[in-house]
Amino acid sequence: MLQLENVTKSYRHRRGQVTALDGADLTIDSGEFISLVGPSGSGKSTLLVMLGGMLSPTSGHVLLDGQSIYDLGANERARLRKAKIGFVFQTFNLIPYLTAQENVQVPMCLNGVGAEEQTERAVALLERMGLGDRLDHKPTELSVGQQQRVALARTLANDPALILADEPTGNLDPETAEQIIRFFEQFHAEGRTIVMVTHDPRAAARAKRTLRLANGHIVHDESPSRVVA
Amino acid sequence: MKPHPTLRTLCCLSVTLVGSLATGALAQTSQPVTATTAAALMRASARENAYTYLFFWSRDDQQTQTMRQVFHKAVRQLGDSVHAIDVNIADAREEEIVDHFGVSRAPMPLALAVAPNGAVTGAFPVRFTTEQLAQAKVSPATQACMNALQHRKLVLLAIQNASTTDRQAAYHGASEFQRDIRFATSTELVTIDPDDPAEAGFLRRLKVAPQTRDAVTIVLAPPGTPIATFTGAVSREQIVEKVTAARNSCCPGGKCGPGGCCPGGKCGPEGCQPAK
Amino acid sequence: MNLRTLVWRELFERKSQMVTVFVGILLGITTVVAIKTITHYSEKAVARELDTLGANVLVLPKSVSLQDYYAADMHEQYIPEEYVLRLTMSNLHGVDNLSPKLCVPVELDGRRYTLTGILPKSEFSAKAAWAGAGIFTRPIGCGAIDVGDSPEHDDKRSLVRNRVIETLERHETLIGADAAQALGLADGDSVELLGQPFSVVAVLPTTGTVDDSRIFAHLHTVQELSEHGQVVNCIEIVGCCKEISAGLVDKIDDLLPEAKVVTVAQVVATQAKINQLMERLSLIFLAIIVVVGGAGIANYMYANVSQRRREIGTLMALGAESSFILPLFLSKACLLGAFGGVAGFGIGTILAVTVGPKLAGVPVFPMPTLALWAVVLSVGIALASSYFPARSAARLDPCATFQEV
Repeated sequence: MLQLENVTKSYRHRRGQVTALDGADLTIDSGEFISLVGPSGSGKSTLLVMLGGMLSPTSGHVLLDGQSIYDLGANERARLRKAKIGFVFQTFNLIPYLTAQENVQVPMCLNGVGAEEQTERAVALLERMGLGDRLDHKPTELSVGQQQRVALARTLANDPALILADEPTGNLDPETAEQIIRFFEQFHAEGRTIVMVTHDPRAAARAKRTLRLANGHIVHDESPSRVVA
Repeated sequence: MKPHPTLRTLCCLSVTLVGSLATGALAQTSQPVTATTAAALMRASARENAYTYLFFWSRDDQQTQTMRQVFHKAVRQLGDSVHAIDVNIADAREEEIVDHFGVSRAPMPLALAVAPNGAVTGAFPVRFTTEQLAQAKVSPATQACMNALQHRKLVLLAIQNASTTDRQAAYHGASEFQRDIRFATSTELVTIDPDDPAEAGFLRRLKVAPQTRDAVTIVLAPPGTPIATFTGAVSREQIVEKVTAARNSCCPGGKCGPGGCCPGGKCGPEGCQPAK
Repeated sequence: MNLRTLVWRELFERKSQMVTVFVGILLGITTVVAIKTITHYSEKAVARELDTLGANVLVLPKSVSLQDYYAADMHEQYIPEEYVLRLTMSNLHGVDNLSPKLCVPVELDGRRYTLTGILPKSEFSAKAAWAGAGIFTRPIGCGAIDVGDSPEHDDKRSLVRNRVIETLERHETLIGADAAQALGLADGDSVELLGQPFSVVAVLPTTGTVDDSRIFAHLHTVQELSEHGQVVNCIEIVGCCKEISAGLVDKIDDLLPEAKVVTVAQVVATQAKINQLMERLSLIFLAIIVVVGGAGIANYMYANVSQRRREIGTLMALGAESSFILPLFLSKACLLGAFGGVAGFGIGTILAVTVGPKLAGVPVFPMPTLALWAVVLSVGIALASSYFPARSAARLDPCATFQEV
């Protein structure tokens, strides 16, 4: 489903060049559940946003379903995200002035879904997340665990094939983190591809494949079938 | 014991007569008349077919004194046919004359020349000359016209005599107009003999040649505007047409600026009408 | 959920900022609308005066400085009434009508009105025929010719049109349209003025001038009741245009050296100057609004974009295109501009209608066309000054939403 071909990402910084990702090659098949681990600054998040079509590589190619996504324009990539990708953020990134239901409706609104369908689907997703009684609550009126569940419901709004999660349990207590991971497992079971950046070894362990990054290199690919050189 | 009514009437008449004679005597010497009132003097003048010159004043200031001298000098020059009197408008005895002319609020001093028929033939407030006062003595026809005009009447001036052409037709038209129910009460017919040397000046003012051989009919509107001149025969309809046109005209004297003499209205065939 | 909901909800998220910007737009538009409305009606009044009173001349006390024709007699300086007869008995050509006036304040039903003493023409017009035989050589005047039968057709309402009235009895009064309405008076009613009963002979038609709130009575009665003596505040002369251009004003000046003689054109010129000043002032305000208001909105929008970086990044991560982000901010600017414009028009109009008559001395009415102008202006300024902040939002790097990039 996803392919990285010799992808390098360098930033220009005051003191010189910083290489966040250095000649990465990677293939992610449909339906995989991958955790990206590694120390801070190792290039995990860079890799994640690159996979999401939001950060163009300095060199190399990123292919989604065989299409080089950075050969597309910014708006075309946005349409691609809308159709195929769901994002989960560490800080949930809910829109503070919208209710839980409205937050879930946002991706559908961007996708041009009709109002009635938006409501039906948002309610169903929130009920699935166990928030059927919190539809009209604003993010500030919800606990952090509830907020992340709203964010998960929002991720599923457009029924994405690929879910990219940036430290989804980073701000949560172990119990809530467990709850979220269980949802990820459900999403995986539904056939979605999940790429999850995490510092949490327990969360990483629940993935079916773990990629370890260090200094911009994928140094370890713990999966039954692949070993990175 | 009460006097007999006849006796009382005789007494009154004799007082008036004495007063009148006294006024004439005093006027000839152009001394201020104090023995009688201006109203009485005017009545006496009317009987004698004489002019009355009135000098109205309120404050005896420098201007009044100067003009009083000018006034009496002019009266002396005019001779016997003029009676004159000073009138202090604050004098209660003169209330009748002050009210008659409505001069209680007029600029003072004020000299008025009054013809025997009662027409004011000249009014000179504050500053005037002996020449102006002399010119205020006008011809009999002028007096007649002014009297009518001062009573806000139209004047039909028939200038004709036995030798003018279309005499009868012109006179007939004028008479018919005077009998018209719409104008009867407000029209005066005055006839002038074009050969009368006394009227030559008046005719020249009206732009009519003295001793004209054609009958001329002139319509005068208050205060003294000649609105139509007809030479030769004239019909009632012709006069009515001219009078109606003059009444309905907004700017008969010429073109005015925006709004001009019809402020806030629109000038149309019916005269000055309110703007819609 | 749609763009409108997002914009509307966000608008009230940061109320204090929104209110500050809104008040800024509102005040600017209010000021410009008020000035524009007042100037418009003042200009209209000037045009009307020129149109209707083109041939008029005013005789005033020397010390009066005149800025408004209709309030020419609203001062406490006096000239002797005898000037009326000096003018009537003079040999001046082109004086068609005269209207002396004396104004005194009267209180009725707790409200102040102006009681204006006027002199009916019948009291002085006959004296015009005293001018001697020379009168027959005068050219025909410019006014309607008196053929001697007009008293029968004397319509008191003609006062508003002709500025003079044929007859008026000492106990009669004419009431301006507004005053009659406020006092509930109609033809035939009686009213007590300065302690004396008057009968209302006519309610005058609406003129749109201060005359509408005046009460008219016989000059001499007003003089007696107010104990002012034989004086007037002003003498209005309806003169012939061609005679005015031929130097009538100078001749009147010579005749009445102690008075000030001005033509309506001169008065109007003064008013026109004030209007020009107001027009320039409104342009200055417009410039201030564009610069200061625009800068304020731009600043607010930049701050808004900065505060909403994470939100914008999230929307982009969720698939929002720049065509969604740009309108998100521009719609907000549009809403602020539209509401500011509408409210500014409303308050500006109320201000103009209430304060305008006191400032400019003319009745001021709402100008619906200005509403469109106000909205277009404020929306235009808001959109123009929000465009760059909105564009910067649309070009924002969505990576800002991630923890470590």
